[in-house]
Amino acid sequence: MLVAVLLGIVGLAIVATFAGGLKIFDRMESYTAAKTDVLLSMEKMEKDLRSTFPVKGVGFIGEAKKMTFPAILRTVSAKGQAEESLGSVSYYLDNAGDVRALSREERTYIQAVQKGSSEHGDIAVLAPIEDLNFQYFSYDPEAETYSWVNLWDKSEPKEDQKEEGKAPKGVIALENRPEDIPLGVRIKISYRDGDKTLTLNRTVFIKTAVSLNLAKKKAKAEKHNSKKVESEQ
Amino acid sequence: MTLRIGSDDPSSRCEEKNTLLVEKGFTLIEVLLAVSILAIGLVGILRAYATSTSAMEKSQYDMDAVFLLKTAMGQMEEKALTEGNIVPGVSDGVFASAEEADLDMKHSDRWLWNQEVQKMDLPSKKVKHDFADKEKKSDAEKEKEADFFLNKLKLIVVNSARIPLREVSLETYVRTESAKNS
Repeated sequence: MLVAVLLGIVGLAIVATFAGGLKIFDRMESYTAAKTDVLLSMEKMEKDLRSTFPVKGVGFIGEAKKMTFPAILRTVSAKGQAEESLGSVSYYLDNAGDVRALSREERTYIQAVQKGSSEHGDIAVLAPIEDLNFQYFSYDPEAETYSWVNLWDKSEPKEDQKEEGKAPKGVIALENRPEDIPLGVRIKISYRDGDKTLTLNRTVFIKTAVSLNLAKKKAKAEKHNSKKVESEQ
Repeated sequence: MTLRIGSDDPSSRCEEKNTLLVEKGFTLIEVLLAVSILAIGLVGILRAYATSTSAMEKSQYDMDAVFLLKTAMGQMEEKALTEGNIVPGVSDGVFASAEEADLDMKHSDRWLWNQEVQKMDLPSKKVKHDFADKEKKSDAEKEKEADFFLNKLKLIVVNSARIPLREVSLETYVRTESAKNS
């Protein structure tokens, strides 16, 4: 009798342990890996975007489903050493496969300037996703207003810059044109989580563009003030 | 006809006795010992479950909080750019817009934010700072002459549904242009 009771307790304890394990597994399943993957891919994009800067020949080209911008590429040489070089990075919605994916493509500086294709091809950063959208924070110096736009392409050199400030052959010139890169990028990724479609947003402000924009605005204000003082005198 | 059980042989009787001893089974002490060892093992497993669950919940919470902090910081940066300056003061609110609510459909109304912008006592002049005159001038004069100020910005995100409350905060410094430059 005693042994039967003891065996019953042991059996119950084992069943309870298994039930607890299953409950934890259910909980982990409810917090799906999909959201974590989306957040991680956003972090990666943010890291690339925050380190972009205006470079001659490699413009910031932004569309609703694709963006290409100058970036520092980190590669490993044949000797196994980490190397950094200037190039461009593209993020876009890839519809080519069975599922929609967020893909990333790296181009070296020469490939980017010549608008050539990537050496290594694209890498799917996140799949599957439902949709991907980019918006760009823009400043209109004429109207002195800020707005979010769906298209950003300042890759064509301006008339006054075609001749002026041409970099010597073989030298990569950084540009001091804040309007060449947007002040910020809003990334919107929609993904499936069970039977629901969820959307996560991330707004990334590009420090280089913001500080250049503020400096330019300040210079304009100072010029305006000095003109005002001159006219008063 | 007679039926014989066992054997009269004394050596075979001894063997039978030994067999009975081997097939005796477990004693109560042995069973109790086995059960207590099993109980200790099971308690260990259950505690590991509890620890992993709380660690998972904590990491989940922190991940959501950091995401929301970044969202709030993005909104602040946009506001600072469009409105020109960040005004010192305290403000709070709830993450309630449709975009933010996507983070967690069920609990978005429970995520609260609090923002504190504190003007630091460090009015600064660029490059040509006349340190000799610094002592002679009043605070008001110094403030008037300052080119920019430093503000300490603290952003806190908390989920009111979680007990005990766990605040996740972010601190940074923001430059504000003085009135003469803005």
